[in-house]
Amino acid sequence: MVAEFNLSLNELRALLARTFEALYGHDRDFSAMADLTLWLECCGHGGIEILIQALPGLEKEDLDSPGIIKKSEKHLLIDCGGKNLISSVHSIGDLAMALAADHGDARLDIENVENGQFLLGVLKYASSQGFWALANYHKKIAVIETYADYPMIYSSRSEHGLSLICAKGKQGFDQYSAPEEGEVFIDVAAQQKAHANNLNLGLAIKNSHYHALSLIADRVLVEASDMSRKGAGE
Amino acid sequence: MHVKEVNNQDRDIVLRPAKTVMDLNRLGSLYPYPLSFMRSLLRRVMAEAWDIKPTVFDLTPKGHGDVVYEITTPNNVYSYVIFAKHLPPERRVDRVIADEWNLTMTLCAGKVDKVRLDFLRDNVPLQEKGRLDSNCIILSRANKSVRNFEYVVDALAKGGQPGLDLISKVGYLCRTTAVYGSGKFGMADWDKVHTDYVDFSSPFAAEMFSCFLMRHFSIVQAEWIAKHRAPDTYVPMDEAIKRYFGIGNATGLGMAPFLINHPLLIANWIEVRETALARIIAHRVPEAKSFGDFECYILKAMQHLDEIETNNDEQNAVNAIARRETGKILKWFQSNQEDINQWSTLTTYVEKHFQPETQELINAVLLEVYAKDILDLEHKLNITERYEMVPQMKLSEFKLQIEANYDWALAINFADASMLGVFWYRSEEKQEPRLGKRYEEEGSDKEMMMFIAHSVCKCYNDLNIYMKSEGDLSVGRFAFSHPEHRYAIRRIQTMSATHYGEIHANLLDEDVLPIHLLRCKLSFFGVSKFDPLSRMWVRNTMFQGAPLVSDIGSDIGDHWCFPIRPDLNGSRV
Repeated sequence: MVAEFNLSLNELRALLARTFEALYGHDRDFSAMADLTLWLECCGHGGIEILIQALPGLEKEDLDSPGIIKKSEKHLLIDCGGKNLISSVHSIGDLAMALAADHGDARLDIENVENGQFLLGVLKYASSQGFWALANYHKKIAVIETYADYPMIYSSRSEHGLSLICAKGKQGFDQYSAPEEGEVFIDVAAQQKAHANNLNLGLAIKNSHYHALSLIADRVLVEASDMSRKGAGE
Repeated sequence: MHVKEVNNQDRDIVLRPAKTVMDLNRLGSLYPYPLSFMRSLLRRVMAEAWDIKPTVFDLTPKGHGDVVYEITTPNNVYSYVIFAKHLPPERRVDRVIADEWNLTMTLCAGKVDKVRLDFLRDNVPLQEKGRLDSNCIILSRANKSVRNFEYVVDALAKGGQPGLDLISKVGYLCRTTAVYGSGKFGMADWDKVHTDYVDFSSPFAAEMFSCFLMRHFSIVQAEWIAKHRAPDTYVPMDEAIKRYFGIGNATGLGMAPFLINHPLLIANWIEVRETALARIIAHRVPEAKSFGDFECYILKAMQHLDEIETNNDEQNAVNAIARRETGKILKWFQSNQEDINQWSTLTTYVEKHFQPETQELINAVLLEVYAKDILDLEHKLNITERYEMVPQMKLSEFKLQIEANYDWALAINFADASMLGVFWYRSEEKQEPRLGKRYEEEGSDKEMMMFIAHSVCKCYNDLNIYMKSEGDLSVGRFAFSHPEHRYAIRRIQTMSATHYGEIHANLLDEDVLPIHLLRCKLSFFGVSKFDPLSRMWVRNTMFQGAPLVSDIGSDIGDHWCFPIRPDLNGSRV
């Protein structure tokens, strides 16, 4: 049996925020990364497991931005340079929505990237901004309507690579979403239930994962000294 | 986008501008008001007649052991579990970094049986080093007042009552050094508390309730010890003196990051308060009763200020000036009453002639006079905090947002080294927030994100450069090119949609006074007596003058603002 540690959502969120802050400093939106990873974990998408797998790579990453190759006004290819998607997933979402706002819909294909599952986490952000959004990742298609809390996730019959599609209206969206949807992989109710359950009882995290994250998160702490205690008002 | 419900009577009111209200010095002058959280909580407790009774009372004659109070509300049953122990003076530390306390306690949902009590006894006394579960709502601790506790026990044991002079100086028997909620140490998340435990669904209600019961127990414990020390001569404490005892609190820098990390919530609290004030000034017509009430509250406020004694010269001077100026305002008010047809005549006069501290005192008095007319605003104090970017916004609009709402930040000259003179960081000692001198101390590479004004300026500078080269594109494209500004961008966009926006302060200024942040938040809690120990932490008293547990069910009113000495005729020691 794997030893587990029970955390509240707030505790896990704080731990993740410190972890990303330790990894990226203030040069990236570490707070949004924490929210996204927490959301994946709360809704049953294994955010912590994905992050733990990614950690060795994250430790070595530089902060270079992804490259853009323009295929058309509303279709871009994003080259992440072999880095992890967590560091650029929000920027990719920002860009997709900006393009969709200008052109009605937009498609961003993402290549040369690790941990594409993080793409699922930007769908709710797109939805909250009034967009329909679709993510192709790891033989899954996740689709979210405007102002919905959770996406529907389908198994895809074939591998489509990694892509994010945003559209202002359903009409522009249907051209991307309908044909390839296969069986339902995770429905909205399952995500709602997982979220409610985790809120009610807390999240069970493997001890080893908790310690791996804490080890990084604690790097933001400053060693105590007599002088530092004066900085607390002593 | 935050859509707010606006009450019809508030449609034509004029709120004070953010430039005035969000100034840090102004926020550090706020007084509690009727919607402060302690007041709101006790109105609910009294109106719903919550039943609070001990189900376990296992104390030694010296007051050590376990106590469980069961609380029955119209919606739920809760337990307040206290572990009391002896704490040798040499092991006592009143800062958050302590690891032993006289009292440790938790507020949890449901009843507590033996198994549950054993689990809590294994964890609650450990505080940060223990683990709780999602049935627990609050974890806290307190120490006995060195100046008061033994004195009071001795007085009661000898058959007398404690003298008011000392209580006036130190208005509590116990002082808490931390009250944790919102999911800390495995406890219930705020979202769960908000939805499952509706009795505590308003901001900090559970935290305030925990302090209320701590105050109750501190009195019970003092009486218990006195009774067992001298059963033949012991007398219980006078009820009026009990009400004059609050619960002490020491608040340090830990509270400051909360204000910076929850700007939507803070802006909302401020807006509710300002709406209440503006409603009174716009719509309430002064007449005989309100004139009388105003005078009564002013006199009470003046006595309150007279009676505050602190060891801090600056705070004493602030109180003395506010007291003196309030006296002048009262005289002016009495001589000009016939000309005061609207309250704005008074507030305009006060704004013109007196300092912000006094202005805010007068505002607090007006809010007390019309307390019943603002209670409908109470349910607006909660807000869902979401800070999301609007990537489709044009950069020209975003630029205007910064210039309109962050002009105070753009005006700061960050080329002046003193404007970056301090940094905020988390110590390895319990992750306690601390303030360091940037040019003298190590650790600025691990700085906390408390530099909102500086971030906004850097974002604005890069925005101007980007717009020159790329034109008026959308925010999403700018954010893609400048991911280092993403947090600032979404914060600026979110806060620009609010009426009050950010606290106008550069928290990196070498002369920053964090104590203003603390007092601002404490005023929303309902704290009245501030005794600063430095610019970074403050002792204060909660629930002084408030009803007692034994008052629940009586018709005692909601008039315990500006606590003053009770008028007594009993014996004294």
